[in-house]
Amino acid sequence: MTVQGVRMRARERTDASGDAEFGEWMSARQGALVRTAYLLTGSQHAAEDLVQATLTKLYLAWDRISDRQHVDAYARRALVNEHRSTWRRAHRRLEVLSDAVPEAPQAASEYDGEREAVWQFVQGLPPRQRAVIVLRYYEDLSEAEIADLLGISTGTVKSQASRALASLRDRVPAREEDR
Amino acid sequence: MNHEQLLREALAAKATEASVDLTLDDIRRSAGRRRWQTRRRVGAVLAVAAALVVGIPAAILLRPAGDGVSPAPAPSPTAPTTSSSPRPEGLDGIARGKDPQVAYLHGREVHQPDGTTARLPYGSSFVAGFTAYHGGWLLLDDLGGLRQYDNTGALVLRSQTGEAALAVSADQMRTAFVYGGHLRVGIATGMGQGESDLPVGNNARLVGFLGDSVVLNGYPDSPHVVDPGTGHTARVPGLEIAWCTAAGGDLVGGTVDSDGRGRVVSTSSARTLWTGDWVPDAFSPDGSRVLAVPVSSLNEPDEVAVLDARTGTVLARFSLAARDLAAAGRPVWEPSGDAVLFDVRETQGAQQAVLRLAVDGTVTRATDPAPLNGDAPGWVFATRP
Repeated sequence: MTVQGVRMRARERTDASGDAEFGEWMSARQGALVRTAYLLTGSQHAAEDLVQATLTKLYLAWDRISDRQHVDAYARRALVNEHRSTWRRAHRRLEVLSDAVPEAPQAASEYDGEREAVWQFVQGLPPRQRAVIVLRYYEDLSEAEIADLLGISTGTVKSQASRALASLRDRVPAREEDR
Repeated sequence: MNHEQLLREALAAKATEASVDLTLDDIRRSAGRRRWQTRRRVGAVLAVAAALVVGIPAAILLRPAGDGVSPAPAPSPTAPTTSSSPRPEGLDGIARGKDPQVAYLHGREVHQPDGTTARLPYGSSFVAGFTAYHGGWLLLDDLGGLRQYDNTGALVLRSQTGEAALAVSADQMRTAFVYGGHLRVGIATGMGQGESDLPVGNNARLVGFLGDSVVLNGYPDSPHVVDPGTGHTARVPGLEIAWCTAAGGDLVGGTVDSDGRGRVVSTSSARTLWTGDWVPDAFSPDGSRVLAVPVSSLNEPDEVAVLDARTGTVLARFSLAARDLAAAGRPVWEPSGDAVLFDVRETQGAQQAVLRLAVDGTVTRATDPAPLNGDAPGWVFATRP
């Protein structure tokens, strides 16, 4: 066997073991990724596309991720970055064309339930603000971690979250026992 | 239960509805496609570069004398580049100029150019646009919902979150908005007489007036000029998404394709006036100039520029990134057409203010700096033509 042939066989073995390792990680983590993706995008279809794009990026970069302990954090960053690039490609007026919240004159009390009203509210947030809310209240990330992920200042994270909460209070009244 | 806890519960509950079942083979296949697409993109860039190297001298040699019939090719404005500064300065060092010459909302106070004020029932922290209407106000909230208040401050009409928009005609006599899938055009100072109401569906997004008509995205599909009285529509040629209109003229600005290149088209001649790396965002009152942002930083512009609307020539530009600033909200032209106003915030600092970019390139502050924190209100300009 030539030197080149030996190198090719070694590469194939590395690829095969890397594939198996990636496949194992993917099976374990794709559920968590799609849940976050669903909250970010508001649509099952868009979430699937986002997760597939994220996993593809990770697959292509797998050999370069030397620290396997941080793959989850790497994957989350890739997911958020992919989502950001998607929303940046689309003009803000176009975003809602593909995923419009039905515009109807209805009060929050007309929703089936409080959680559904909150979800409707989250879906109507601009993409970056929605990302802040999902990362803060679903992923439980700190303001500094969110700022780092989204490439914005912690002050912006704080103001986006507080404005969203203020709007939420306005739109979804607290339950009687909380007043 | 407080609202933070409510958010946590609602998101956790909703997340369980999502599922996906991708296999390793699915990812291998999409990885293969992605590798190919990457190569193709690189190849295309190299091909364009090669064509430019060959094409420029050829164009000089072969350019025919004008025949007076064939339209000249649309010029491509110089690609924007962000100038760098070794030390971000934020708002420091920007001189204070005159107050805004347009009405604006700060907190709950509407400040008119003549110095008078009025109070709105909804604060500027939650408002994206507003205009006087039927003796009261029409407001766009920060979630894309529409609210109409009467002259007593009572809520007359309210949509939930969506993508409502407001537009004001060139003479400022008429106001258009989309509500509940209907395009409504009314006399701003009237009380409802003579209004038109056209069903346009929930995908229609109002861009602005164009003479007596309006431009809508998503109705019927791509950007169209729509006569609100008759419902007659005409496709805006050459645009995938319309961003702005010259309300008193025939120009529409927008983006061309998924890469988002900017373009201005003339609807009367069906001609593209220019295509380039600046995306038109707001035409000056007379339509001769347009404020634009770079394609490369479309949603969070790192630079703004004033272009000649008909040629795309850059007349003035201001790098937000070089000063550690971010634009917030929608910009607005002053009535003179000599300057544009926009609300900026320091991305690393703690201040916000309104800046004025004049067409001669000078930049001044139109307000005093205000503290920047979660509760501090910004400035929202009245919707203008």
